[in-house]
Amino acid sequence: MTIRAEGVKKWFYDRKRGEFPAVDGVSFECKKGEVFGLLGPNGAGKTTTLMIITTILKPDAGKVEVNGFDVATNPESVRLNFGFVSADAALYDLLTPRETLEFVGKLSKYPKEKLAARIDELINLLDMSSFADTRCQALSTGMKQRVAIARALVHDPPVVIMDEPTSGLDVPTMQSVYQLVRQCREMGKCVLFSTHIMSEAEKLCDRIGIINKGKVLAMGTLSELKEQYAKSDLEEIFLAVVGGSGGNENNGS
Amino acid sequence: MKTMGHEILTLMHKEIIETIREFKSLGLFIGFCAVFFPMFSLFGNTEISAALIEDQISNQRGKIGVRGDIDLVRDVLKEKKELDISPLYDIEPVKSIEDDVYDIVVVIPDSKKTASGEKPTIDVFYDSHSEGTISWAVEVAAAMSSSQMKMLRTKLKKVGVDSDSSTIPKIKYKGIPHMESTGAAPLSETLPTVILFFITTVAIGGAIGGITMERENKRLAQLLLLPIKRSSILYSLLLVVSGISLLPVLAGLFSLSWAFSLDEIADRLKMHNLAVSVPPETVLWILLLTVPIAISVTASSILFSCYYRIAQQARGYSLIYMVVLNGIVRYIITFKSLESILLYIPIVNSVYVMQQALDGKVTAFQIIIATLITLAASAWMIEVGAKKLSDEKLLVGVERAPRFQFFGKGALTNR
Repeated sequence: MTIRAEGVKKWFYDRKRGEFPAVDGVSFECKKGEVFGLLGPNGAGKTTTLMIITTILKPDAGKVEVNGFDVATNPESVRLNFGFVSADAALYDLLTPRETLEFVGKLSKYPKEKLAARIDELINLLDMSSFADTRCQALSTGMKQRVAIARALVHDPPVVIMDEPTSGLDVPTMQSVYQLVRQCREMGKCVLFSTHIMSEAEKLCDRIGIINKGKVLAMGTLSELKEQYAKSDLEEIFLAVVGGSGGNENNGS
Repeated sequence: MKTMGHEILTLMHKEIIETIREFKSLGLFIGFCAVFFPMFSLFGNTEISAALIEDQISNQRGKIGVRGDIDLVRDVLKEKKELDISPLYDIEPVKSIEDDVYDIVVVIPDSKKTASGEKPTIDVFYDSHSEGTISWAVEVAAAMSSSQMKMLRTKLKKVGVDSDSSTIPKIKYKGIPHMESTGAAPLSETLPTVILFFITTVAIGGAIGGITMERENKRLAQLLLLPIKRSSILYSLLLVVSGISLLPVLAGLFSLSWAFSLDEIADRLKMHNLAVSVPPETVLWILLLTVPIAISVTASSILFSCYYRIAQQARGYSLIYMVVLNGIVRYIITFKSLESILLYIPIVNSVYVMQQALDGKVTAFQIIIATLITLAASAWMIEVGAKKLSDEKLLVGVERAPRFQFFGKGALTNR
């Protein structure tokens, strides 16, 4: 098992509403060589769940393990074992993609003697040669997202966590992201893919967990979900599961 | 420890690259300081100050006490009709000035002492807070050190002090700083606070840019995903920003020393009514104490930045922070009753030590104690700030329920 979440809870506070659950007992597993999709409307608790897995937030209850390391008791080892891609690339504008990868690679304790070769490999894999030495401030959104993906993979982590990585991208760039997710699966990596785009989840994910109001309401392979809900596509299943209510007001996106 | 060192160096490398590539605002500030320091010296009210000094010299007669070869001193100062030269006898030089027996005491080296190989020095004692006395002291020392030097050397050789004709006795100013101030403002009260102001300006800008803005742009969250210690991020920022905050001061001093010689700087400080208790070359050494000031001020600025999520908000409060920090430091230093503990109050101590050093009153031990306390306090501030980096509310904007709540919806919530 590479990611294991068990009864994870996270409470937020709002002066008007008081305390409310952003994540309410989420449990799932993601195995090696598997793409697990976390599907949910805006504010469902997807990003909060990912933030707990990536050690940015601490769980109020429950347990999360990444590659065998507990996020609460061993966060530094957890951080060595995953790469994270979000919709916001958040790159250093004044560094070039190559410098960014070198910076992250060094801090991620990737072997120094192999780092240059690894960076070249990623630059070729993500077709970044033409802008590898251009400052990030001059890159387009698609280019920046490719750099962000390379940044997540530079230390060759066993777990890749993606939070709506195709948000704001054009179709060719989206296709290259999909291609990369498939490559990660082929390489035996565990990929946790959060999205609210049904077609994306249908194309990429081996198993899907549908989350709403902080709870996982349905989980299984696409065919299992189709059978369980007697629907022909994921969009219909999704509406049946979340009750057509769409987003909620949890703010725990 | 080795890993943390590697982390800090890697983070510093990135910070330095970014600073070099975005040099416009810092470059402007450095340029301003490079021009400000010499300009301040150039456009002083030199005529009035010179006239004041002239007036003091012409209306009073200076009493010079001499220990050693009094004929030699009379010879050297024969042009200075306004000075009465008498032997010092058995009174201690400092006491004779404190008791107003003499304005200046000149101690000519003893031939027996210098035979042991010590470099001969001529000590000129004076009240470092009395403008007229300083002027006389400068006159006496200048007369001895320049035009009359050849004669002095010959005479010293005759009495057996100078066995090697190439050895030139060094003039040593010995200011007596604790005497009551009667005129000029001591440099020690001005320079440390000017330096404190310049350093705070750069440090707070660097800290907000390195923490609050990074938090706002979500780059800090990306950095926190890496397997590094939180304090490594802040230590690297501390080293780079405190280094950068020193640049304007260094640029100012470099351009000042390029524009004027040490003697000219001393004269110009005098023209600005700034009394210097130690020689100009010592002032330059004392300016090394700017380093602990920069480190402690930067650490406190980083801690300040760690408490803000929005850069605009942090910038708004930074002005208040700067004024309060500068005000508190300057205010505490004026408390005579706190003198015994000033060495132990972080940030205040590094400014205090520089002030004391400029007055010639500080010992090496005190400098070491104050510097160690400054560094320890800076490390503590960094550790506190590092804990704040992971604060969930600051990082992702989520709030947690107050620990004690008696009213409102959260009051009865039971998990």
